[in-house]
Amino acid sequence: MADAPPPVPPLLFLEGEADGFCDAETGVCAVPPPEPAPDAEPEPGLGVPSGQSRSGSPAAR
Amino acid sequence: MESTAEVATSTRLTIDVWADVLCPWCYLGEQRLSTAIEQSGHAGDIDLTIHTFQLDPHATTQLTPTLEYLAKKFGAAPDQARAMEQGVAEQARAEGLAYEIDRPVRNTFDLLRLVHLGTEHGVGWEYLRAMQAELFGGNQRAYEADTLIRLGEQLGLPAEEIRDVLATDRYADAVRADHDAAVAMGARGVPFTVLGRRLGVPGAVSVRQYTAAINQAWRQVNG
Repeated sequence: MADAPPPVPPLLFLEGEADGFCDAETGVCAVPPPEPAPDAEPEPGLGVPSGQSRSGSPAAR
Repeated sequence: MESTAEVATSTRLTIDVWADVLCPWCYLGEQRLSTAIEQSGHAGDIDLTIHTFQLDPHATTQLTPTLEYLAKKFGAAPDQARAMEQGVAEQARAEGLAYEIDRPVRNTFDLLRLVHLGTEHGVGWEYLRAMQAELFGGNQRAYEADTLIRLGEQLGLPAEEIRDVLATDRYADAVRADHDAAVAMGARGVPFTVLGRRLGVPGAVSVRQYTAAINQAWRQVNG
């Protein structure tokens, strides 16, 4: 009987946020929110927050 | 008599990248990763492997304009879809990449099978990048067989092999296996990069971050 393959250690994830990501579940390709002008409030609904959680999933958006 | 002097050798660093042809962030991320590899000082000691990851297996085989696809898929208003695309386009152009918003979307399964043919011939990464350059460059025939054959032939792939892949289900299992492997490692989308089989980078990051990842993984594999 063949030996079972050795267990693969879980991945470590790079620190820091990603600029963008295409989510397989939702299909959304997230983009960073537009840079708000210094005196402007961020405009809701435009752009999608970027970033990833350290688990390999996209950050909540 | 042979010299017994020991020569310091380094262990090669593997970099595995999962991507889809139509994924804009893969297109950007691959460019940035390539730059980081060139700048790392380890380019000659890195084995870069492309793996496929089909983002939308249910996408139609009919061509659909990108903005129409985004509107249908996410319910995005045309202005919102265009704004999303323009955000990526600006970053792509900053990398020196062509980026046409009004490009077609279609199911990429056949293209991903061809990437595996490219990999078998040692040019999988280059073939994927060439397909993306056509697609994001705005070629409305980017998905057509004649385009895929032309790109493959430029990389030394035999046209008859490309036609054979397109006419059969060759490499279908390889596409599914690549997808499953990425999901098993925790990928929820692409690009997804693994360095030294240990360090994961989900999403497209900056050249600086890719460089940091290469350095970190290099230290891990070479002590």
